[in-house]
Amino acid sequence: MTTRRRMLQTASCGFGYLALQSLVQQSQAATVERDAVDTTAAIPTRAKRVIFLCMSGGPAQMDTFDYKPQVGKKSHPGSVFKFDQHGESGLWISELMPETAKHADRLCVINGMHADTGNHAQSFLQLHTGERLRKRPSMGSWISYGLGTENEDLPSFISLNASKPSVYSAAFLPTEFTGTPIGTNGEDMSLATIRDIAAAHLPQHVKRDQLDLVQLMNHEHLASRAGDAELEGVIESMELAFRMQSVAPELLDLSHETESTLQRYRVGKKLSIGTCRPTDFGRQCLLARRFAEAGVRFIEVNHGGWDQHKDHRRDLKANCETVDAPIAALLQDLAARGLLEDTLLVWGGEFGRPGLTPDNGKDESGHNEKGFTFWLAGGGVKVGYAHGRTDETGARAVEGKVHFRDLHATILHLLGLNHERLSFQHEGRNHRLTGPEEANVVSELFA
Amino acid sequence: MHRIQLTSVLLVFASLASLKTLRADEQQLFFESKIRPVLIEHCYKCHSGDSENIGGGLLIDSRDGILSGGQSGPVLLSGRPDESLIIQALRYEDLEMPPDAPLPEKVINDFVKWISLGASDPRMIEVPPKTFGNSENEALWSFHPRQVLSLPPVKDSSWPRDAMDQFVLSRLEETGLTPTHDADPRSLLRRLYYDLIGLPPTLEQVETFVPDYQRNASTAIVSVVDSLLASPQFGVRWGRHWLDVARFGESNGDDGLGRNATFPHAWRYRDYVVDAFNKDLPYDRFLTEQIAGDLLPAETAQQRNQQLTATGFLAISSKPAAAMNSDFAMDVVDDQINVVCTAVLGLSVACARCHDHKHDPIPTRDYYALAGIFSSTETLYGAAGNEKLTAPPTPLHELHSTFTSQEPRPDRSSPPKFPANYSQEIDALEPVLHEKLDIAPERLLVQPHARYTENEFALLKDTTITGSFGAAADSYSVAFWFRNLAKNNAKPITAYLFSRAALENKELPGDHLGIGGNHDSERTGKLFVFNGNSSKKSIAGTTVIAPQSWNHIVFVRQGKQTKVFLNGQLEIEGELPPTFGNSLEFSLAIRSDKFAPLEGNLAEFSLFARAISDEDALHLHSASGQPRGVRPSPAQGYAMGVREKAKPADSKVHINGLGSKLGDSVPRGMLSAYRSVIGDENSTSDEFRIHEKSSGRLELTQWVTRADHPQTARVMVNRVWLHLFGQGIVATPDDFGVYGSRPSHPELLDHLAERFVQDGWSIKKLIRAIVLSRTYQLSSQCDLQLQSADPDNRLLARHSRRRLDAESLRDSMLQVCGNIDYAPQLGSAIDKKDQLISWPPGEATDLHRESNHRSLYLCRLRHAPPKELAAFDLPTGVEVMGNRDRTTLPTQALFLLNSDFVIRQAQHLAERVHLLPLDDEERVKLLISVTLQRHSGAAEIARSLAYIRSTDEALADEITEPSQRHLRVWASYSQGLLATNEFRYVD
Repeated sequence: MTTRRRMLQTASCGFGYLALQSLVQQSQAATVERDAVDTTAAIPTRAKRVIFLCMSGGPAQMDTFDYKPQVGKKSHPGSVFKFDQHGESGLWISELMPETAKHADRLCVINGMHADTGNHAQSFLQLHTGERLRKRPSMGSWISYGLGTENEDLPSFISLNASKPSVYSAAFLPTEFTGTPIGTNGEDMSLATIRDIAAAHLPQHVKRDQLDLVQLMNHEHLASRAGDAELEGVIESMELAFRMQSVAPELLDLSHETESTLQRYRVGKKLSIGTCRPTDFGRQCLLARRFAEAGVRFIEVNHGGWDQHKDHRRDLKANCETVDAPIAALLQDLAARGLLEDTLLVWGGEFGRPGLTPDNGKDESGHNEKGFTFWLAGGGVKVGYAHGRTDETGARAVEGKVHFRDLHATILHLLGLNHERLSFQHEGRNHRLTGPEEANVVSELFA
Repeated sequence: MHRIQLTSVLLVFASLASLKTLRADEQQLFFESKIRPVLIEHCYKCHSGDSENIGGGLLIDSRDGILSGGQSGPVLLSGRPDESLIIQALRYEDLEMPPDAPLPEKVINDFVKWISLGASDPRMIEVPPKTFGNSENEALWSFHPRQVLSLPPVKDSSWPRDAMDQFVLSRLEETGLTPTHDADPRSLLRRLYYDLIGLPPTLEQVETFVPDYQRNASTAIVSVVDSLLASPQFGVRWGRHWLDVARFGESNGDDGLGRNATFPHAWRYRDYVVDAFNKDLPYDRFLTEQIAGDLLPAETAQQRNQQLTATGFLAISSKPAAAMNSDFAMDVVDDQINVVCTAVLGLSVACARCHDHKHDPIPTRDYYALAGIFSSTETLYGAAGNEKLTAPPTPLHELHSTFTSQEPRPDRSSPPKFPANYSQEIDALEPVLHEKLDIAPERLLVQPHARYTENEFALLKDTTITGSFGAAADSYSVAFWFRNLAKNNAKPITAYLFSRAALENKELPGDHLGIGGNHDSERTGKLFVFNGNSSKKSIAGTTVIAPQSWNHIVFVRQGKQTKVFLNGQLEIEGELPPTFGNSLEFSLAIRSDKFAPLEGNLAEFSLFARAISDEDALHLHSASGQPRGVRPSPAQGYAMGVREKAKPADSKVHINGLGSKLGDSVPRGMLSAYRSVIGDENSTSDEFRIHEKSSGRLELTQWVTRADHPQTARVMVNRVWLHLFGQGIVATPDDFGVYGSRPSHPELLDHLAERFVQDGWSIKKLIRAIVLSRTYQLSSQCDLQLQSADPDNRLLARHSRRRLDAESLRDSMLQVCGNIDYAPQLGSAIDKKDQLISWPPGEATDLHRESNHRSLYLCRLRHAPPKELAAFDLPTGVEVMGNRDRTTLPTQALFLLNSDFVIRQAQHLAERVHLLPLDDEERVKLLISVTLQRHSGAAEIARSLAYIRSTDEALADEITEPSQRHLRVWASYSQGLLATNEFRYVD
């Protein structure tokens, strides 16, 4: 495992290790604490990285992965799109996800999700950070903090088509664990890159000398300002930026991908219908695969627009059409390259929606935090499995209930991290991703 | 069977009839016998104060509860049973209540009856108002009046310099901590410069200050502080802080449909804010102008313009698309409620749009009381990029250099009655063609046929009228009366009145006279002349022509000059190159390519084969006997803002926040929580009662700026504190409500708020007092023990080190590299662009333009921030942002290492230093002192020289010309200095 100390040592190469000694001593306390969370002995590592397919707005579970047929005489809220059983496992998946459905035997569906609030902002924050109201470290930051990076030339946490900064913030964790956004919310991803990733004004080796000079001054500056973690974070981020210059442009460049790959991922396909935003989701999924291959620890892929209050049917269809084939391509590629074994895919949003009643002519749906669906794939979870269930109308989770904090605990567990021990002292209190309330690892999901 | 049903229906009618005349005590009896028992038996289990989990947040054990409703909104609409949620639920329509089994129909009919009759509910007397328990009361701390306490005792009485120091020291002593030492003069000066004007001092300023400080610290500091407060750069720094709060932006931002319309006039609000801070406009007045500036008296045109511009606060928001959004108007209102409550009161009321909040004291009714105020207000945001689907275009405030004439506009609504000799008077001027148009014209081609009457002349709709001059006429004139019936805002161009052009030529060479529509908000309803697609020049008038009115036009072309007279007043005059060439054709009441026909009337058309004199032009009007036009002064500019609607009206509760389901109407008014929570009767006194003829904005400003308003002053002093210390006394500056933080020093907060109000709401005095305090002047250095005892520095035993924000970083680079332009930038890069920008911006649509002015003046398009600032946590301008994020990202380092801006600045600095007759060592010293405002050490100089030498060698092959190479080397060294933490952090 790459420790924080080793990262600092690596960072020091090229401009004198001694200059860093004081810095290493200052961060000793944090290092020790961090080492203590290395509980790999107790928990087997099933997954090494996470791709979080974040569907913001509240995906309608009853028209995607939680089949609610009409029963009884009186029609009630339920699925308004057609469902079929897929794969050997016979998972029920709606007609809106035909490509993903072909991978039914790779999915581990959690139908009993529930959350605390039906407000987008709060629930979205809770999904990412475990906390609804205050700024807390994002899941990606916690995981990067817990496991370090697999590729020292890239950020350990990348958020594609990133939403607002509060959901990729490291908050009080060391700033190096902040997510690096590529593309901002809703932006056309084909234009998104890492700004200022290159400049031709100096040759690379002169740039290195220039940065060495800067870092030397930064270390002297820091030395007289003992223990300022932010200054330390800046020093590390300068090094990371420097290394990114050589690696990132290549990863973002899809020109060497074959035509059929681009086609499978639907790269460049942009639907703009109602709430569905034209975000080139296919490009994001392909980039996610490339980043996963390169060893990025946590990759968040965003698609907004699942908040179909009006025109539920039309907009939901457009959203599903946008994500379905790219996700299928991602599953296929990860499996083919042997990456699915240790890459955990997580699909879901901040809550779900109540179902429509098929015959009443209405086409509007609201929010429902009491019961909704996530699915996982790869990373050591069961395949072709549906866990938990909601009641007849899909209104609330009634069996196998999984709260966000349980999901967080479970994801950490799959990564070999103990959610109770992955903690950080801040404002006199030990903070965890799963918060102060009891969280349960849902071991039924493990293969 | 049928008979029985009929009977029961009759019975219901009978009882309804009798109940209508029931006395109050009989109504009460009906409630007690038929309604209350059912509520208790079937509903209280889930919907009363004693319930374990209150279902849907709905309490029906009191009249208040039942009227204010639950998460699904109000459940009862008095007099309208069918629309009442409770009846729908009892009938098992949408909701199903009670959940186990429906109640008997008879019982449901009782409820229908009860609601039809006004839902009389005697329980109102017995039930106390909503009360809050101890813990909740504590959470509502900001609703309680300020407590001005005597100063707390301290052990070390020599330490405090100001009362606020005593509050801070007292807390520290309680915790057993001692404040760290005072900041050294150099650090203090740098801190003061950045905090007050957002720029670093120069080395000379440091070197003057340090000895002054050593002689007499107090006078040295006071003198610097006073000069900084008086600097025009102060408003640039502090105005920007307010613009964060005011969610300022110069475009709409993504409207949800991928469209982003420019706001070409938003910059005026920016300038207003800067000016307000510079002249220390009292904060209560500042708020009043922003919420109700249009309603305040003004002594000068300039003052009136400022006050109109101030109301931009309510108009500059990012709006969701209007297309397929029946709630658009309410979305605008929602933003206005939100910005006033969040920015001014630190309260989030947005949730109350849809439902009461369990722990929040703002009920849905309060939200709609405020909504009535803003829905009685007309929001003027302009053309919205000329895209109706984004937002329907609106007018803007016109800014005039003088007060517009108070002379009433003549009434032109009825058809003009011309004197009997009018036609002869026209003929006397020898037109080549004259048609009265009370009957079909002989010498004009009219297709299809129009209708003609003696009173209203030619009546046109989609009519094409064409004719020909007959002989060449390079100068010519045309005169006619017209009436336009279409709304000025309904079409891109309201109507074309006359074209001198070859007919059907798509390139439109020629003169085209028309009335502007929604294509350009500055020309809506105004005359303009356009000279075709190849030249594309046009000039416009200033008078808005009211639809339905009869108007007289004379258009005169003389060589390159054109004039248009409107109702006997010169309306347009200017040079417009003629493009009609040899063509002799003209069209009337439609453009030559049949675009934008006039819907309305036409009379007394005459055509002259010469440019007639001004005298003749005026005579053509005066001979008609109709009143002459009133000339307003032309608008000097436009501002976004708000004004009163003609008919103010209360707002109805929007059930679930949607306009499709409306509940009871709520009288316009202020928030009720102050009375219901803490029994503050003043908050709802008559003083704040809204007159039926006014929207209530003025009353709202009186209410929020009352001296004893519990939140207004606290929220603002906390914002000021935040910018001087890096964090507020309340860590959540935009949330003083239940979910916000509690103050770290409540007594200090109240002390400052009280002082602020006593000092006439002067922001400069407040800032001055704070920066002169001992607490502010502490060092950011402290021993590790103190640091670990209070890592977040909530107790203020030291100063917090802070990073330069985006604007200060760029401004500092411009200043030290010698490029900065301190003058305010006039206008904005987009002040002439009323258009959609593609979203997000590609290079092609990058509307930013290069500027050396301070960063505040860079164009702040929402969702397309200026590249020079974007890496450093800019606010989005979509939400109130009192406290910016502060992230550390490799992308920021990439900006410092690779961005055009930084490379260019460094290059410029190197060029300056390179020109001076200095040796390398002197150059290094100079660069360090210029960028970091300090002297350099020997080791540092040696290291720098080594870098210079080795880099020069490294570039020897690439750049053979020595002076070019040296420049590149020194530029790379300068860039390095700009990228250091020392440059970017303030101790």
